[in-house]
Amino acid sequence: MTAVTPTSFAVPVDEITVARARAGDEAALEALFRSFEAPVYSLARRLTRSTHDAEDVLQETFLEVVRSIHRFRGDGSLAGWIRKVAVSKALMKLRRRRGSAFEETLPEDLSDDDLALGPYGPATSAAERVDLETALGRLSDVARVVIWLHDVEGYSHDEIAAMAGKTASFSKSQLARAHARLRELLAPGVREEPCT
Amino acid sequence: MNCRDLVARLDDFVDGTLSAADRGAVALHLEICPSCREAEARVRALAAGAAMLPRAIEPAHDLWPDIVARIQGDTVTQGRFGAVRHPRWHRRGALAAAAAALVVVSSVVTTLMVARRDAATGPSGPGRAGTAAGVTAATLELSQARGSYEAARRQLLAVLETRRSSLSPATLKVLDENVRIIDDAVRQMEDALARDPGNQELPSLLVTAYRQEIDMLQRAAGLPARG
Repeated sequence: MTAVTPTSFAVPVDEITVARARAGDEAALEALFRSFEAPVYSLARRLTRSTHDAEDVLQETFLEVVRSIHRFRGDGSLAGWIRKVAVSKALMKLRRRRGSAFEETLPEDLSDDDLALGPYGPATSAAERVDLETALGRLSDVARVVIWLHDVEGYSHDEIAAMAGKTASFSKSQLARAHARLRELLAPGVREEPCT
Repeated sequence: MNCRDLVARLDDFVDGTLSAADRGAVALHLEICPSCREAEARVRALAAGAAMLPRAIEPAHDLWPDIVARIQGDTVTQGRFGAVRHPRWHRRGALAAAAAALVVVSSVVTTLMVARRDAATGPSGPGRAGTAAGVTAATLELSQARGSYEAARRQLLAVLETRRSSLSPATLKVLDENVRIIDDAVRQMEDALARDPGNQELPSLLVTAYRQEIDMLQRAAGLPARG
């Protein structure tokens, strides 16, 4: 279920700017910040659901970029590296906020209130996206993080496991349960009971 | 394979990570089971919906100065950051060039930006949620941005109206369609916010939608006339 739309981190950055940033050029580092501030902040907001935490994540991510960009050898993309730093900082924030976000388990039962959301189908209108926003907001941290990293950012279970300090099977099982819960939230009354 | 087996494998099937044997078995079951086909469609719809979610939420205020301040107090980065600095006049020149490139009603767009900054540096501090009345920085930002957005939108649409005859029909069609899509999204997000005023995400998404529409209208107002 990897996202097929271009990632918001698909920001064009020329090699000269990267080389200047690696040399400690303040203007180049600021240019990198301007290029990536919205994607990093958006990702952090999605993962932490907090303006305050997202701002901290944005700051900590770019502190790390400034500290470590001289070691960036260009093996992968700069955007991929910055995105990974941002995810790591956001997960650290979640762990500090609640002990350990990845120790949570998803509740099995949904309340009537949870189920009082609109239907959801293959077409994704603005209204349906709003429903999905609302439903995502009702998930636990771990469910929301796994869904976002896997379905939207396109990370594999192995990558999520490495970033979260968990196993790939943990990521897989959490994603399956989170999907099931989201589908229940988005389609009240549609129970996915096995038919045979 | 029965339906219970299929449900357990559905995410992996849609994800494309099943073994060839399991994939074949799932595909075979889907051919004969309408109920499981519906479940598969819901899983795929969920993925498509998630991929469509807005991903351009901007911070409420400029954080670069804070980062620079932290870098300057950071022993790890000291000596590396700012190893190359450019004269101030260089930046001023770049800013002047950027300013000269702006077209109509830039002041209105500035108003939107100022509304964001003022909201962020209000009584509850930069981007911090929570006042006694339950007003968050995001909702404060939204209420300030809304007034500026409506004024900017009116002005830009008026400018565009006077320019309609100079733009190509194809351009006008794309423009009208985009305005309709954004207006539709704004209206539905506002409806959703009215139903769920405590939603933490919607105010920022709305402000982003406002800015996207203003940016688009501003660019459209500056388009060259057809030749």
